[in-house]
Amino acid sequence: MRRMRKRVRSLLAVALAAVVGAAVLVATPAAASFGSTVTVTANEMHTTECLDRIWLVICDTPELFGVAVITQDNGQQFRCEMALPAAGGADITTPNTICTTPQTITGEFRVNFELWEDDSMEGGSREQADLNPGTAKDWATTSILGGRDSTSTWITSAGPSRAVFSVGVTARPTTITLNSPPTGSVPPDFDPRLGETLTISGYLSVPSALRFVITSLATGSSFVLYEAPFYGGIFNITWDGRMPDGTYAPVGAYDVTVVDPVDAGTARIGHARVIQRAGLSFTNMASQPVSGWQYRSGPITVSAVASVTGTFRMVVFRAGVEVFRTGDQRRAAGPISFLWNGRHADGTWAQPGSYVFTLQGNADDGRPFPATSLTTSAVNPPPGFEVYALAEPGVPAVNPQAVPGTSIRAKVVAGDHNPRPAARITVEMSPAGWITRPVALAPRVVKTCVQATECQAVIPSDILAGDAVAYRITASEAEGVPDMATASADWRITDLNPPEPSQGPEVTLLPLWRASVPAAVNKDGKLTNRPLNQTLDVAYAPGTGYDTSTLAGARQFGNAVDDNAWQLLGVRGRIFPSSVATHWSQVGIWVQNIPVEVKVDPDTLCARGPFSPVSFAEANGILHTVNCRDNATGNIFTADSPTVGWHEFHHDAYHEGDEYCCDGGYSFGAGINTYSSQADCQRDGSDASTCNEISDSTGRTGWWRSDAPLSDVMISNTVERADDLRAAEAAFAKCGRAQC
Amino acid sequence: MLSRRTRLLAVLVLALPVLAVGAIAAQGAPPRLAPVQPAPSVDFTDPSKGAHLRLGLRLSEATVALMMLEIGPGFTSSLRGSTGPFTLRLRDSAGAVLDTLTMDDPLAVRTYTSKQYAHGTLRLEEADVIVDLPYIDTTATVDVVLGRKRVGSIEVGSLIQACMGKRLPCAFS
Repeated sequence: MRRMRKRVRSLLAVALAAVVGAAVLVATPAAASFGSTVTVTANEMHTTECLDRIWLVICDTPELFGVAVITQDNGQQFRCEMALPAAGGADITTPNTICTTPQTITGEFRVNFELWEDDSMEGGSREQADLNPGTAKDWATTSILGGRDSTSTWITSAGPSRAVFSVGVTARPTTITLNSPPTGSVPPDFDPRLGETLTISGYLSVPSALRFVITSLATGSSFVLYEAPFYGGIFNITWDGRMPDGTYAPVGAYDVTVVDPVDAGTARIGHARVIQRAGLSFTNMASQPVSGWQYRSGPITVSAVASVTGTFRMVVFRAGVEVFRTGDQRRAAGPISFLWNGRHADGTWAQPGSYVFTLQGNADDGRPFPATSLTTSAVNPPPGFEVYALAEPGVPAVNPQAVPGTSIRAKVVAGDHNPRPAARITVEMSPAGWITRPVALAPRVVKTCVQATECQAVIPSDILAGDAVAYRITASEAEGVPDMATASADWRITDLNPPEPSQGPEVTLLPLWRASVPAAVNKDGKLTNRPLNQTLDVAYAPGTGYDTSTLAGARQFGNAVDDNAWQLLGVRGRIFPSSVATHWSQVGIWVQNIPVEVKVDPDTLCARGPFSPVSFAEANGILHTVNCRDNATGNIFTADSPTVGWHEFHHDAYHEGDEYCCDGGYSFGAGINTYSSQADCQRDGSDASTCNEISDSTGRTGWWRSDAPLSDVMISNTVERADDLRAAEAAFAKCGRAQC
Repeated sequence: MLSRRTRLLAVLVLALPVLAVGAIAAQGAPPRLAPVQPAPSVDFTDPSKGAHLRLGLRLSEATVALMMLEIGPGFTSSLRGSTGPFTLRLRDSAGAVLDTLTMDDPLAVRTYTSKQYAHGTLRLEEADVIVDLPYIDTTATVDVVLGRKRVGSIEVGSLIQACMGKRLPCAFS
């Protein structure tokens, strides 16, 4: 039922315009920690805006409700929404709790208050009232201190609408649990002179600042070892046994006190002893990698601390049988280490399984060290070996030019696209020219990384000063292993700097940069991008939230392009397989540096301002940070996350339809991944046996899909299934025929 | 199913800017008639080479209005869909079909709410669409078809003739 607004609010409007925001903070002495429980209450809400317009002229009585968005100082947000008031109330003058369940907050925070009207029960939509004189409609508090009991009342100011709300903070004192050193049992001994350290670890019931104090029981003197906030709830630091002046702590007993600096009642005291070992021993024995050693990626390193100078060796056993032994090596007291490359004494290679690494030795005076062992496992790497690389930030030219430190980041993955280490990653680079002015390939190795899953190489200054960089990544397993695998990516090009105006007519065109495009050598022996009718091209543009006119904004946008490109490549495991990775040499990533306004329309959709798509691009993505519902039409989409871009890419490039129920639009993918009947699905789908109607508990569509699982790129933005991969293959086959 | 209120509001806000612009990309098929003047040369390694005909359309279920018409530099992609309810047909002065582009329904807006991990589709009353068509210099008209209904025809031949030999982008002022 609709109700006519009957009250004139002109007086109220005048009053609202004069209101100045104010806050009254009532702080009470409090305990400590960064933990609080926070409640938000809407005391009053008034509006003179017409939030519920009917037939352009009639203002219906709005159903107001408040929304509070609590933002911690680490950026994490919590949203609370008030239940709708009883029907008919235009202004709210009695307190309404917004966060019915108090939110647990860490650290300082602010509250953004939003005033909304909701007539969804009448078939309408929600509309937000304006509490601000500026463009933003919500009203934000200043930063509020957490961990202290307080109540503050806030009055919004200068907007056509007005609200009064309260923020209640209840401190949550922390309780410290000290695991190491122990508080009651036998104190641990450690010898700093041999490199041994004391671990101080435990956890907090609520995140808090912590102070670590070392006290000598012999002298009673103490010093603060460390003091810092611990947001994670867990603390784990080490004491190297040295005093503040760097000298070794005298042998003796010490107390280790861990306490919240502003709450002495939280103190916990552990005990430890600094000793000087007189005997022979190996301590702090460890391996790198710690476990799951993939011997094909390089040797394992076993290290320890020897108490005195001597001659040492490492012996490796498998199932009680010695399989390898190093030569004897004389080393001084202190850290020692040994390598094993995985080859047995008889020349065969390590097999998956458990290995025991034993250190042996004799002091110079002939006394034997007690043998000390460590057990770890050797594993075969997951199958597959692939390597990809992107510039970082993704579009250096948008900065507006590449800055020192701009680099190429290579990632090595297994066939399932989870990281796997390579024994060696080599990054080659070459100057590359602008699109219309290619230069000859002049490759050189810029960086080599060993036993790594990633390798980041800074672009040399001479290349960085040019128009563009070309790069190629090669990864290989350890030399000598059976069937040594090597993966080599194709050359790709990233633009670094805009061309000089005097250098050609291209500056009159769109600011269109190559973020990552496959390279080719043309008939003149020059390095250029592959013909664009042979590549699937994705062009990104900066939407609201990415201000590329500033260095920071340009870098953020570059990182967003990076994130989206890595998502397309599937180098995140969970979207494996990735048709883009399979055909990476046929995919180009571009950036059109023309800002596009993205704003929230009345249906909370992301509405975009004027936008000219890149004519040759198969997909045009507008990246933004606006809180709105992303959407797509044609081959243009908005995206505030890479997973959205992953889904939309399949619409644009592969011409697939949606497979979720029940809003229609299935005909776009007809015969590709959606089918208008079960018979069509069984005839044309990848697997007739898994045909299922696109439906859910709310209804049926009459359209069918062949892919069985519901985790699907066209449903949940996740995995490409058989029909999706088939569509991709068809698209890339056309590209192979220069029909892209 | 859209609610009564939503339909009502959608009608009322026809004047508002609408979300969609859609570009479809297509490479020109060889013209059937001898060209009046050669089209700009195409170098597929250079995105500024070639030309495209850019149409800005305001589309509804039953009507189409021309909002923008220009010839710009840069060729179009030829990787096209073959299904979908929105079709543009390029015809020469004799009515012969020179090329056909097919794309998703511009009135059906696919949405995604990251915060709720939910897809959806909205049906718009009206949408603005930008479509890049291949430049074929014998093109006279572009038929606009939505579903099975021809909602309009856009005359483009006069612009193509007027822009012969002109610097791109070229449009009627």
